[in-house]
Amino acid sequence: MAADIKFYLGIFDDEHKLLSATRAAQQSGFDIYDCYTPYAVHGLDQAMGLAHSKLGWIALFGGLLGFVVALHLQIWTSAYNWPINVGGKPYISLPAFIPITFELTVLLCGLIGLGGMITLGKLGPTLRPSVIGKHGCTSHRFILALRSYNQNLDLGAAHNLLLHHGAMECKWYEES
Amino acid sequence: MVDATLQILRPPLVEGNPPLAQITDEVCQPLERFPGKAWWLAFLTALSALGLGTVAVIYLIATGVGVWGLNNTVGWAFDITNFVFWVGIGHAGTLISAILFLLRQKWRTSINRAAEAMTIFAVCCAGIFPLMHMGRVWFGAYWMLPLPNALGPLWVNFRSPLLWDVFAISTYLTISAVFWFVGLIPDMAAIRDRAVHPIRKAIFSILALGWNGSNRAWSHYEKLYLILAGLSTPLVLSVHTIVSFDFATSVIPGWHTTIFPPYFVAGAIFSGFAMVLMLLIITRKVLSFEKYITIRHLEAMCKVILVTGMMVGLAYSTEFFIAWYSGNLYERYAFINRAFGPFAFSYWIMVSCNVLSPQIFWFKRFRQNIPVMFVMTIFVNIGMWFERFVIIVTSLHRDFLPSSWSMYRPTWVEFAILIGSFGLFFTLFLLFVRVLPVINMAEVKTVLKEGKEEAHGGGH
Repeated sequence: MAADIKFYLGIFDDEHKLLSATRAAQQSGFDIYDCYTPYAVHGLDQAMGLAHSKLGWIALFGGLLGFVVALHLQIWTSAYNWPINVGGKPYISLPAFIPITFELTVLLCGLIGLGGMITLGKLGPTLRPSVIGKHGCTSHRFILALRSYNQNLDLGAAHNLLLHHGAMECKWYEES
Repeated sequence: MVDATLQILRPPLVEGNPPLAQITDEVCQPLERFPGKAWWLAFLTALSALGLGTVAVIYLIATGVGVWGLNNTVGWAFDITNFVFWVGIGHAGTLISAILFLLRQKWRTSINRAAEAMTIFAVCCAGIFPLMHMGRVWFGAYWMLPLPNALGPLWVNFRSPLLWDVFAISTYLTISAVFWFVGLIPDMAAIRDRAVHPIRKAIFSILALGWNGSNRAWSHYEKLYLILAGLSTPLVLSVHTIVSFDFATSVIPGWHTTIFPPYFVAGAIFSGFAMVLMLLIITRKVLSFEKYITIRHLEAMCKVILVTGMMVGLAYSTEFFIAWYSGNLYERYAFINRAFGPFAFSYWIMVSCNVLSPQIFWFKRFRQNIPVMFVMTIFVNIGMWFERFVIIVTSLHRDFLPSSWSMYRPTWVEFAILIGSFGLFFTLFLLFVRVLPVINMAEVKTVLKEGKEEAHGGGH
């Protein structure tokens, strides 16, 4: 039997109210599912207790891959596959290979970084975006979503906490 | 805390401190109503220019590069001038979106979207010229890219700056587009959520990648934005450096100088800012965005134009001094010929537009006067186009042997393609202001005054 998962949403009109509510919810041990905001709110990661994004490592891998691919491509084509003497320069003219190595490093770092962001952020082209983030939170609302797993959410405490920190509205949300 | 103090002393970045919902409404409204007369007039003008350019390009490709005014001595002229000009225009966008981001210049938030769009369109315009310059464009892919082929395989020459250019420009275009797209994701989600028409909703649903404002996604998003800004900063410097290598690594007097990379980069930022300023003056007026793109933003751009204009001026005088100081007769002649030879008019247009005219921006009165700014942006663009013309044509038309000296006279085809490239640029930009939000809503909302009161050190 599938677990009964529901979300209790607190809807705010201000980032500071959301921040203080999230901090309080984190301290009181509520299961914070996510926050939904129209812009990146600073300090929210810490308030939610999120770990640092691992995206930097993915991008670093992309950069290293680009570096290796670029050098390999240039050295293999210029010195091994079909060596041509250009103005008496060495077949492996490393200084002349630097610009393209740099460009491909940047290119793959950026593209793989983008792919990493899409994967880690669970994004992707879709006609039916998750509606939990609706209620205007791409425009002007801030939402704190607390998760209830098999009705383990202390509804009274959650409701009080959200209202205490200035929630305009609290409501249940169930993913269909 | 220093940050908070500065915010109090300076005028706000968004006038009137509007509520968040109003920002979304005001930025999205121009996209949701039928365009007005001014837009159609501008669009049809741009489209006509593009049409003229297209006719000229078809004629060129069908006939051959002989329809240009090039000859054995002057093998590069309008084509490469336009290429360098447009690549340069693109640089301001990346400077605003990446370098000012790393430097935490918050005023960039209102203008970065338009500037990045401009970058992408300018690089598209730039890309056309080297392609056509090669003559038989249908072989272009084999000449430019290391594609396997039946001639050995015979590979491209990785030691040539022209090939570095291929990689630099295409990387620049790709990374700028990624940067632009990533910035657009939250705003496209906002448009999706307010869209009424089902087709509009479907298009923006797909483009917004299911973005719903989740902070877990924001956390990765912010990281990617930082990485892209960090990547674009050396990238933008590398692109015009490599463009300048096309000249600097040759042996032509007037080209073979080590000052070229910084000189080209400064010139690129100079011309790019002038173009951004021109576009923003028009955009803020037509879309009534005076509240978001304030006089303070325009004034800051004027200051950048003044500074980079003087850097370019310093480069002009350094070049001249070194030409004399080097004791190299050919180098000396190249510079005397620039200033007093048959193309002297272009040299003096360049100096007066790029070095003398920006000096009026020393005065606050002119930095805040929109008609003056607008005229200045046109001057700077003319000046910077002529700078590339001076570098390319005057250096080539008289090099070492007087027996090979020649003159250059452009034909109507070259003018038509130049006009066509402006047509392409403005057509794309006008379409952009119709379909996508010109102001980065998600970033502008972070620089509102109310977001400042509780000091959240560190800015972005």
